[in-house]
Amino acid sequence: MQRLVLIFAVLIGVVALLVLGVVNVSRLDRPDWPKVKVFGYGSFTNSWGPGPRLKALFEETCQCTIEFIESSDSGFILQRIKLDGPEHGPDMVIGLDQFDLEIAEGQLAWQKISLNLVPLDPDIAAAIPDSPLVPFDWGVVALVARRSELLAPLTSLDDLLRSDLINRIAIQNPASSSPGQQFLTWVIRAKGIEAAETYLRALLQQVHSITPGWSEAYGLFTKRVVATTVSYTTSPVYHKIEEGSDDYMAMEFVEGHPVQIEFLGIPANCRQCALAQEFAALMLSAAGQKIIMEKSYMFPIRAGVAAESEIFAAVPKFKTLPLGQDLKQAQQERYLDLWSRIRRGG
Amino acid sequence: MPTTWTKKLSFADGSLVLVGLLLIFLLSPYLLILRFLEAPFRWQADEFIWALRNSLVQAFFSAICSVVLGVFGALVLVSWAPVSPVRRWLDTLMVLPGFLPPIFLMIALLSLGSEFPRGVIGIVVAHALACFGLVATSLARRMEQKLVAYSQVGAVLGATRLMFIRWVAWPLMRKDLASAFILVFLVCLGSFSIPFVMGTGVGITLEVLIYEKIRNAGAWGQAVSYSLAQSFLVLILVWPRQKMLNSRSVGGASEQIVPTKAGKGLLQLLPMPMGAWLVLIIVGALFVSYLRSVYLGFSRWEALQPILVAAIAPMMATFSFAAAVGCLLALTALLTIYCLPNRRWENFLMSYLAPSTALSAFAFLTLGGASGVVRLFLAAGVLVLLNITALMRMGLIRQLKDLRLQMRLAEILGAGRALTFRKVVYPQMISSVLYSSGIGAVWAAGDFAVTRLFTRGDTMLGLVVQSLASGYRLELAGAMSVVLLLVSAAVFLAFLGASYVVDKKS
Repeated sequence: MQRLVLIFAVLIGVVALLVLGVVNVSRLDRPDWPKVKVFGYGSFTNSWGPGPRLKALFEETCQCTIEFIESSDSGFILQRIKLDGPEHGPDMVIGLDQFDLEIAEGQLAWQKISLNLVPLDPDIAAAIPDSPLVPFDWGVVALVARRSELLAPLTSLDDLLRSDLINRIAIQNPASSSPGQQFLTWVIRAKGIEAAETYLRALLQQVHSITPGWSEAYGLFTKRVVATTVSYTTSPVYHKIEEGSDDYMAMEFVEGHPVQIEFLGIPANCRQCALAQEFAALMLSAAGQKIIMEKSYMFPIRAGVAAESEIFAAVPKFKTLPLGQDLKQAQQERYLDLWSRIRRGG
Repeated sequence: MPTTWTKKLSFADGSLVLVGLLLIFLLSPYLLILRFLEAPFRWQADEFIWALRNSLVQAFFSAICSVVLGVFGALVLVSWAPVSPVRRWLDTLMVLPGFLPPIFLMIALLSLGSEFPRGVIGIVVAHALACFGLVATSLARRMEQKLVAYSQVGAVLGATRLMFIRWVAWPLMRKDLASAFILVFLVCLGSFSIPFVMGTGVGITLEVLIYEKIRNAGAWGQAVSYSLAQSFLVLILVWPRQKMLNSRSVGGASEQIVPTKAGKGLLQLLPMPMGAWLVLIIVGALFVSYLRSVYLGFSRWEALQPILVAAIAPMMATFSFAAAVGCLLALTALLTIYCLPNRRWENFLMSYLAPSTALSAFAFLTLGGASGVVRLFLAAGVLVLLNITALMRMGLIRQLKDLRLQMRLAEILGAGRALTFRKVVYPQMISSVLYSSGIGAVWAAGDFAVTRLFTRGDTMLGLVVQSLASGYRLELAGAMSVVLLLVSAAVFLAFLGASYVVDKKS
């Protein structure tokens, strides 16, 4: 009897996996249509992100299927491509940031995507590096806070060391998060490497948490555990649209602000290259850019799209820092080594 | 009959081949990833030592705190008879924090406010809260197996509680305390999500450092070498202790629990019924904190409603996937048990530390598989790999030890390994195996780190919760975690039901 129960249980398990697998496979829709494999990070491809709307729009006309394959975060996308091998490789990659470019170009050959027909937002055009990967959105990194909570808005990185902010700041770990890496680079560029080391040691005494990623830090912020955290100038837009709250603000610092640019690319060994190029064109079109802006709460790279939205047009324009040598992998490794030393107390 | 009785593995009964296959499975992440290693890689000794020290310190103090709290919890539990409803409720309340996927405990702890400590202290507190219930229930059971008769005699002879603890309970329970310590130490050393979130970036452990190495620059060489070094060190640290514990064992079969009036504890000299209030306060505080976080999500009902509707398919998928992982865990546990008792195999199981989550998941990803079914099998395989030894250590190996007398007798009477397994071990173990697998299934239901890599889109509830959290919708993520909780409960109840049915039949 017990043996029967066990066999039955194993069978149920196997059947459950099969059913689940079939459900997954059935998501590929029409098997006779070409399938464009797109690697992206979770918050782009999930149902709240821009991915599904872009997919639906594209599939209306392309006679093809877009298949999103997720990675938990952009840092893992390139690792995933490497391990999956060329036969399972993607036709398109979405969500690499400027720190990933050198590794991406070193690891894979990429098809050229033309930006010639895209009128670029003048605020970002000069910062776009020469690369076969092209940007599709961008954001300005800033500290965000609630107007009702701060004694006085912060105006510089040094203000983060104010006594009223002891145990009231959450930053992200540069070793496991893109915004954290942006913040580390920001401090080093603003202060120089030696002063940055001193500053970061002092800041570590001050912060409540160094979280593994953006969502944990922002969670502490929205739960009012901390008063400020590193996010984007567009973050208050979310609270205005979704919650009708005007209480949130991004604060301009005298040092200038780093920009985060997100890129898409088409690997040279793509199988559905033409369709991938068309999907890239859709993402860079006015309609695609609007979807990305509204779903990701990031700025479009195409000129004029943000201006059409009253709320996005009203986002304050902060002085930004140009992209520099910090993009080099070796430089970033040095910065992360410094961070590693600081957090070890060495 | 000493519990040190062991049986050689052999080709004839298939146990040698089976152990070989299980060893390959447990070590497969290293074997699979080897072909991607590019020499030379940077070995940063100071960084490794720092993270290893953090790992060892947090695991050591987590284990100490868990055992201390666990002893206290056990004294509370033994105040009531095992069949008493109060005892069952307390049992459930205590194991709940460790039994649920870590995401729930972390939501509760993070919602406690800015005063909750972070870094190593935060990790230790979180681990202790997660593990003390498991220690308490297992110690309570052992106390009742070992101390009941002595307690009755002691009470008649007028011994005080202190005298009983000093002269009877401590010498007899020392080995169990050491086993509980090692069990929690290994669980905490291999823990990823709690140190990842609570470590605040400055108290990071080796598991988290390995994740960082893979994420940042695909430093597979460093990641594998750190992971191997950690596993090897643990093996060196734990194996001799394990051998010593085995060699000092006395009293093989479990002693019979003397039945008493329902509701009354079996140990007259140890109970601490008032401690139940403290347990209720600790677990109640976590529960209220969690509910506060959930309330914010439900207060945005309009935004939540479409997400709930869209979550019907992920609910079913989560249930199926978790059930499948539970079944695979049960199968793997039975295969593992088949090869016991064997001292080396048992020592390996008690000392083995699974490779880090990220390393294991990426290693299995290299097996490819374009089809959804294959990928799901691979995801299930990773979760089985990560959880099987913890489940074995949580009570199955101990329970098997209690059957050694019967197994030895069966052998003396001429039964082979297969027959002994079929007629002696299997009927008495299957219920516990299913119960443990149910716990593993619950952990699988709450997973998002592994399933994210193997599935497309938000096909599981854990993924839905994580997606919401990473896209500004944190309070909705809290609300959706309730749905995940319900599905997890349903999966566990299914296994509990199966365990109950099998128990009645055997």
